[in-house]
Amino acid sequence: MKILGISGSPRKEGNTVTMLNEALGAAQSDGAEVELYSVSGKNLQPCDGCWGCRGTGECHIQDDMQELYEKMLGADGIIFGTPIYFWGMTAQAKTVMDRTIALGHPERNLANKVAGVVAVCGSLGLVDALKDFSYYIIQRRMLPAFQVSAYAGSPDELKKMEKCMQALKDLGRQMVALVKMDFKYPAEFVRGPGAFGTHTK
Amino acid sequence: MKILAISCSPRSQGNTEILLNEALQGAQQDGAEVELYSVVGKNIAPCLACRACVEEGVCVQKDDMQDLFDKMLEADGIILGTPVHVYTMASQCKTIMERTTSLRNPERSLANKVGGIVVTAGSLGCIGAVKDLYFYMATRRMLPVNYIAAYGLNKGDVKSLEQCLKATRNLGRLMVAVVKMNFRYPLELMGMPIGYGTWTK
Repeated sequence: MKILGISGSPRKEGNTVTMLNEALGAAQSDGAEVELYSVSGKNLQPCDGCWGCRGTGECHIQDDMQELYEKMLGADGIIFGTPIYFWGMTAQAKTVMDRTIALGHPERNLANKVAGVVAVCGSLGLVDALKDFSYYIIQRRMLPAFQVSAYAGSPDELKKMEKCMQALKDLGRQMVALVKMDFKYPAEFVRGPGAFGTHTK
Repeated sequence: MKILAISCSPRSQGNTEILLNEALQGAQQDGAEVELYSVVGKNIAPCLACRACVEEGVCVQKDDMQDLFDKMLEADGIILGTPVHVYTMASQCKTIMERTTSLRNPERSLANKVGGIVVTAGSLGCIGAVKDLYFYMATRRMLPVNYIAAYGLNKGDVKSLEQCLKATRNLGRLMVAVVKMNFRYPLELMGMPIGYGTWTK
């Protein structure tokens, strides 16, 4: 069983990575193979809206996202992590999200993977990021695990927040417990499009 | 198996109710016992934040919400339906949501109930309502499965949206299929709250 943590923070060892590592450590203790992927230093280009992925599940942009696609597809559970920039997830986190539009193919998709979220903030904006991730996770037919969010100034400060650290450990263990349940959404009821009464009637 | 649809529209027979009935027909077709609950004519007062429910898990306000609490607790799946008023869910919907903060005991909780969403709008605000409702369900540890969002202004407008009606029936059927899977979250690993660094460290 593989649990992947994806940090959408430009910092290599900041609050987001601290939170993800705490959760991944607990997942590892419960028997999972874990990996932390950080966007820091990676070349991740925005989606260019070409729709070339339609029908193939493959994105034509040859950058570091190609490696992350394989890591995501190979994982049983994914914990998305982001700090809050401008009252929402970072552009890096949104870039990864947008690029996964390509993973809407019957053979290449995120369905039934367990998904957790960690988010960290210095001021306002946590809940918008959490809502965006909830919506994303449910619409990609992933199984939502719990979300842990925190207001924190530094990793040291964060590590002193005992209840938060416990919740992160619980999240890691949840991920393993949920993967073991082997939940599969009934695939015959297709989801989307997003709204009717627009170009879709 | 019981599927409850809650219409938070002040209109009887409006677009929200039409779609909820469509979803319930789909659920009934697949063997569920179904019920439509409308807020029309009901006396449901806002939460008083008295926190009496923290001890008892029971709300002290004796109004029509008491009947709805029982219906929600008895249901295996709940479809929340709301029109968009002033760019988000109607206040009737938010009132019900807030009153359910009293359902906090393991014996009286919404955990593991399957969740569906119907949102109708004349203009902007669908996505805000859907995200709010999804996030609500996720934090209640319900299992949200899908939403329907439809644009229509006058009573009955959604009846002309063929793909929408089919997708809405499928939402009802999906609810039944997921209830049958008898999914249970590992609640011991999913403590509240989810935001740390405030009064909770």
